[in-house]
Amino acid sequence: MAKLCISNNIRQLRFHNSEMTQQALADEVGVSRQTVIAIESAKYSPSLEVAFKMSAVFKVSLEEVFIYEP
Amino acid sequence: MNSSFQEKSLWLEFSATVIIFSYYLNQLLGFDNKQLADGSLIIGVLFEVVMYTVVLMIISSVILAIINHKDADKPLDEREQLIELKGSYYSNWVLKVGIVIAIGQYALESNEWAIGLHQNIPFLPLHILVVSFLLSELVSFFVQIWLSRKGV
Repeated sequence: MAKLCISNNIRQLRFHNSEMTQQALADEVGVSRQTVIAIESAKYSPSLEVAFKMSAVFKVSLEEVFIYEP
Repeated sequence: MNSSFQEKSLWLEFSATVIIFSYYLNQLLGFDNKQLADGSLIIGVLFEVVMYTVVLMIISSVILAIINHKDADKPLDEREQLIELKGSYYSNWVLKVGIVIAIGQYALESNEWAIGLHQNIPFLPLHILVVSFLLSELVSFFVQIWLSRKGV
């Protein structure tokens, strides 16, 4: 499996948002908990829609959630 | 990672297909040449395979829905849909190859070009089709389980 060049700060952002659980984030965004786990561990790059929903949940910009590392 | 409802269903479907595949092969290998040439007997085995497939799939779905009724109603999200598509992609290739081999075998038999293989195994194109269908299902479930665990 090719390594994804997009990392993220989801774990830290969840921690700073009252230690939000993966399930709570999944429910807010409308995906399964396994998908949140896969995104958080950089095994799956989400669609723009899910990425924007996540940044909206954390009330930060997209670049603060996802980091492109070419 | 805890397995999702989707992954549990895939494992159940994979196991059900393995059972049906082994039942089908076991039946065929137990037949002698006379029984293999009996069309009604072969159709009976195929009917059983279809019936067992439907029954096993229904039972496994009901068991999963009872255990985890909350997740059973949820539609697939984008990652799960992608995994399903990739599973279908590889499964389709197995089925296509099986169909081409079955057509080739049928063409050889009907033109009497075959090297005697059809004389030992009657209805060989039909068996190739059934085996490639079951193999394609197994490949689909395996790829989906693999991608669920390793990432898309």
